[in-house]
Amino acid sequence: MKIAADLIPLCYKCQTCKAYCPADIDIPQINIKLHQALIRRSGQSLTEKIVLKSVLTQRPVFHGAVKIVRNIQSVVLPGKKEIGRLPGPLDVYTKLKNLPLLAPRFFREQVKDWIPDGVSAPPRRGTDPSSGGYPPMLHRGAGMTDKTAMTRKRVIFYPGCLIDFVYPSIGEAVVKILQSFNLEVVFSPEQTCCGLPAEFSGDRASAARLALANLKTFAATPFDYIITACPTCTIALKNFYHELFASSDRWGELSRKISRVTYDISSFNINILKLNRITSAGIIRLRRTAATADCSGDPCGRILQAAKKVTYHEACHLKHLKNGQQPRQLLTEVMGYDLVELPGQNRCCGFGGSFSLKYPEISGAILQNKVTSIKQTGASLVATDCPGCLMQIQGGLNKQKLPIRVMHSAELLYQSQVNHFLPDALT
Amino acid sequence: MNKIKHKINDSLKQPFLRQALNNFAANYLEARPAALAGLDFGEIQSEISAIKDKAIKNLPELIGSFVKQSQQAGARVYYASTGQSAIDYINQLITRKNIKRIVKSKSMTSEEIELNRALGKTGAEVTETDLGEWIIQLAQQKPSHMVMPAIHLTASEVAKLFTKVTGQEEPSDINHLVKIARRELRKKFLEADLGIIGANIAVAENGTLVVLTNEGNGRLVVTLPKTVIALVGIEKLVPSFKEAEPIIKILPRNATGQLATSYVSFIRGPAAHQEFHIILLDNGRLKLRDSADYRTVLRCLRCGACANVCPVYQQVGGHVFGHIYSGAIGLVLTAVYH
Amino acid sequence: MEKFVQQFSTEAVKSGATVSGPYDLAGLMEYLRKLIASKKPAKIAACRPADRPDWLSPELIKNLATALPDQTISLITDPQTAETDFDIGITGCNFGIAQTGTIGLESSNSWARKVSALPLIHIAILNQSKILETWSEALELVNRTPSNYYALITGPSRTADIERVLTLGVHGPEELHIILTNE
Repeated sequence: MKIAADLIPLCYKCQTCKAYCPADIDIPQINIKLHQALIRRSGQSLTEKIVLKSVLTQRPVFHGAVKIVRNIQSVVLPGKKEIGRLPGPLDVYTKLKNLPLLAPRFFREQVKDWIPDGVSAPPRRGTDPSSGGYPPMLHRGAGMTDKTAMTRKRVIFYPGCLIDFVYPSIGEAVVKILQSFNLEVVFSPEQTCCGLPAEFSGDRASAARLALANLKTFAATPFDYIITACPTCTIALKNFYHELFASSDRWGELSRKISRVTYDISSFNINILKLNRITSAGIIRLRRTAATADCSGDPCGRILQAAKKVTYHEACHLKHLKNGQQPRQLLTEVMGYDLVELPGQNRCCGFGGSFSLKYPEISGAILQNKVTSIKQTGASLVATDCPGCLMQIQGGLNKQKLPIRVMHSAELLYQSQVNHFLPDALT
Repeated sequence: MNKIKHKINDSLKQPFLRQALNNFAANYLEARPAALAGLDFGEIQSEISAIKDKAIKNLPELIGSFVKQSQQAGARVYYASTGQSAIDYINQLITRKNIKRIVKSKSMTSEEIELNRALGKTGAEVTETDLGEWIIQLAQQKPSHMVMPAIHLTASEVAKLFTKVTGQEEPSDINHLVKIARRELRKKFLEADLGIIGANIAVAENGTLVVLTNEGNGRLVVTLPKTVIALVGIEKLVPSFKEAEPIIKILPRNATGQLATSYVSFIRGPAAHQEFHIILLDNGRLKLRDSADYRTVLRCLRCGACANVCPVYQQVGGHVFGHIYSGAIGLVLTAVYH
Repeated sequence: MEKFVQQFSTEAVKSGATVSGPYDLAGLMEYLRKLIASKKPAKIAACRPADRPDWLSPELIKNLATALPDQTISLITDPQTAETDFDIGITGCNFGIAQTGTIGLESSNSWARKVSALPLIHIAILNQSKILETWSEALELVNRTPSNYYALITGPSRTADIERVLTLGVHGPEELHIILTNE
């Protein structure tokens, strides 16, 4: 067991081994159990105890700490877009990739712009974006879900930590896509970390506390769906919460409902909104127009405009949810990109959540392979459905100063809608 | 924790190992779909997990049936509850028969109980006969991969090792090196008085061991020496050929993308003038069977696919990401058996 | 059974074996003569009918001596022989599997195993009527046969243990020549 103690934390639950095991052994799950046994035996490290038990599970402390870091960041790194080098021994985290900054305004701070009073009103009929109205999805194709079917349905959006604090524009894109289908979107500021980082570190107690805090927010309002844009959070809500609470009198039924109706945005787009059933008459082509606010002033706008070739990186945890070819169909059929297959597209990017903090050297080594394959495609745009992969891969590309942009498919989809609606006078 | 960090950094600094593991991973990801063409892997997973779960449940009966059947065929069967008792049995045999030269064919189970270390103490000469295993035996290193243990060594490093054996300067032409191994190990096969093998499957209904190999050394280890020992973990048991079939089909495909290994041997009892011993190894497996959390580990076919695709393993290999068993299942097996 | 011959040949060649025939006895001897001459062996081993009844016919063994290009080549058929350094081993087969080009050799008799496992060149003579289609059928046959050692062989011996480079001819044969017969 002593030998194993060093080895057990090396597994970061990408779930790849499980997909290839002919005997269907749930190796990551067994690893978690071993990790729990290990902690029972020798306790957690001090760092993990502090981070998990004293910070992460105390929402005010956690969110307060994140705000403080953001404030420090704006003082120490004004005008910077990313972190190329951390000082001293911390450099090990930036040796092989750059790190993003925390967003100047978090998702939870902006959300009232899009969802006044916490619950959105159905979008106005107007198509003029300058009036602040939300562009409806175009061109109903036969087979696409009709807007009227979605009217009055309520969706809880669960962005998760990365989107909330680092990539709020992805959250904005998701909210607006949903609203354009007349869905009522709800977000609660009581939402906190999904808990899987704790569970994957063998600390089920902390994970359960976080899960419970989130369950309470879901219990506070009726809902038809829960949408996430992060596959790991999707796994948390769909599988993990159910595992934790299935036999609980109080939370059993809710956890079962959550398991049934939670979708990550890519599955929702395909399975419920049926976006990829759009017919050729209704295909939305990406208009080569000026990019929108999110890209203002930085090269990504030009890249989005110019990008013809896009390549797709499949997140490990999305593979676990088994959507197959459908995310690519959205890119080619709905958004009109030329898709170049990424060699080894389903090989891990190396992020692995806290793994990139515990073993940055291995995480970076795995990342280098990914960056090399992306270079080989000649694509200037990489689409993915996971903010963790996005952060990791963009960091690796930027470290090597490659002019390649990584974007979440949902944000690409939203951009393609907004762009289409810019009247010619504004281009 | 620091020790593992050192090992990680050392491994990452070995570009050849990383390159080799990476290339293998890439080739594997291409070869495997071709080998699985026309087959539904999800169905295979359901089928094999069901077969294995049932076998695990009925393990005591299967053991009883296997022992009876193989004894009827003329084999001597010994049930070893611990690794040490297996080693003791083998040591007693070595003493009784005055065995001096042993040849071994690949057996992860023998490595699990650290058999070679024990055999070393008997004074008998032990030679690993799988090419990769022989190479790392000469190099005095541990395997870096379950299926290709010497994948971290270049041809010129291997040539240097072989030069020490032959006493001549050996070029690093790979075909030439393989033929040297053939020549040198052929002597060992012919001189050996004891052969030790592992098995991939044990069929209870007729006491048969199924052994899948590519090099042909297994065949010689079983045929040439006067005494043969097969060391088999009890989780390899299945009731009949019917259950063995899907396992025989998937093992080569999932391990390396092959449709079939060069040799699939069905062994049941000795040839004339031979003694054939089968050691059924427990070493904690029955206890594992009682654990709801860990019982599914007994389903493991030892195909090595999980190691092939594990992103961490692909970077650092088995020297870091494993003790004796490596890769994803290796973590688990290490925790359980060591 | 003949309809699987094509598939068998294709798959066996893919696995690195050569396949020829189907021949009658005369054609078989002719082919053997040419093949052996091209390999220039010093010693050849063969498994007699007494040791493995369903393999090579007595006629063939009797005629085998005529297949040898010259008398300096020794033909070893004694199972008790101490010699192990023969260059070619000639056996029959119990069946073939079309799916993968595999041959099945019932070899409880250790001489049968030595002949097929020791030399660099293995010549296996297979009656084409014995070709089965699938592994399922083959395993059923193996299961029904009382045997202490049944070997299913697909192509020559191989390894990729050095730098992942595929090399044929490790401890077992480097060449597998399957000759189909129709008698």
